[in-house]
Amino acid sequence: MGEGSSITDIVDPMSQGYRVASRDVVSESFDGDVVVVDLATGRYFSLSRSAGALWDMFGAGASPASIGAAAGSDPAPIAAFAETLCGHGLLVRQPQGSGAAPDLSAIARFAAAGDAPEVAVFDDLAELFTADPIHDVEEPAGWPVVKQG
Amino acid sequence: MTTERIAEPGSYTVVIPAWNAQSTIAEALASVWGQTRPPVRVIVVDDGSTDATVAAVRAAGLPVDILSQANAGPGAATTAGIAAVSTPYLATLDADDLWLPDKIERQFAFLGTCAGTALAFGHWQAFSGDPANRVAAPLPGWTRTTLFALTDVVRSVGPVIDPPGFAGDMIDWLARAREAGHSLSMHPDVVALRRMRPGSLSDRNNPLRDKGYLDVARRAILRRKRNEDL
Repeated sequence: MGEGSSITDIVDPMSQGYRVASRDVVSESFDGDVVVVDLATGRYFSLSRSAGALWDMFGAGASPASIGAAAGSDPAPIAAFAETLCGHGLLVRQPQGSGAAPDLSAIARFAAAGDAPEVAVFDDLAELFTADPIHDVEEPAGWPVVKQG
Repeated sequence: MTTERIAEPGSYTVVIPAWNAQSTIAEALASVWGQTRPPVRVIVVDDGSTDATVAAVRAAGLPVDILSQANAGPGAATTAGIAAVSTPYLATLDADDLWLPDKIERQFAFLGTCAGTALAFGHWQAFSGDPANRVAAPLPGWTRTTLFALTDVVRSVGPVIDPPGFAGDMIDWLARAREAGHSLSMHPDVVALRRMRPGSLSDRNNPLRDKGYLDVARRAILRRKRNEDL
């Protein structure tokens, strides 16, 4: 690597992979609507249908290039969306990539979504999420196996 | 035993949901009855405990009404207890936590200084073993253990809903209270203590807990969409 350069300067953003930023970032699909919560910040996120499919593929290590190739789509907006998710602290870059092929069912959901990949960000419950205490207690303890907030 | 005195202005009832709390419930009750401004009634809602929770309540020798239900979760137990309240104010407490002696006195005065506020909370501090052994800095307690409020307002918010794994039930309830236009006020002082169990650590890899928080977020998103569609 030359002086003044960094690894991000020489990695093709289309072929790099991503992974979920930390164990504090959790997600679930509710009938195809993906919701993400960052337990560290208390922010939560609602993904559009296509964004939810991309989220699943990014989390499994697929690169924008591989997703674009499998879906017959321009990888540039896919990469841009991945960077948006990185900006929200939900994904981190894996410059070497995982080489993972995109899941075909996720590709099908992405192609069928018919919407733009978008993420809505909410912070109205942040102080409640971050204040909610979490206990891991010895059995046979009562409810606060997860401490109620 | 019923200790209720319905008509007294400013009187309050304490609701304690309890499940398998035999080792902590007596201490929790002692902290309630040790208040400088004591309640007129204490309700323990036993949520189908499989241990000696009920026996521990009775052995404590303090005035307590016990409501029993099949196991349904802390939210359902809290809701059942709130439904039985007939005083103008109520407070809630988790069965493993403790109040400081002047909690209610401070919060009652605090409500009087917060115009338009019907729901008061306070800071709390974690302890381990001995209540004097504080193991963390005080934090804002947006929790069941610190809630002190007007009963009618609490009821108007609706039931405390149990998410999967029971995580986040009060986050959902507090969010709904705020969306209904109620002001939530945080007393700056420590009013309660949160028990850390021996050997416990925050568990950052609990899928069931995560499902609860995700369910709470999902509910908030759906409420927002419904409001936008109106």
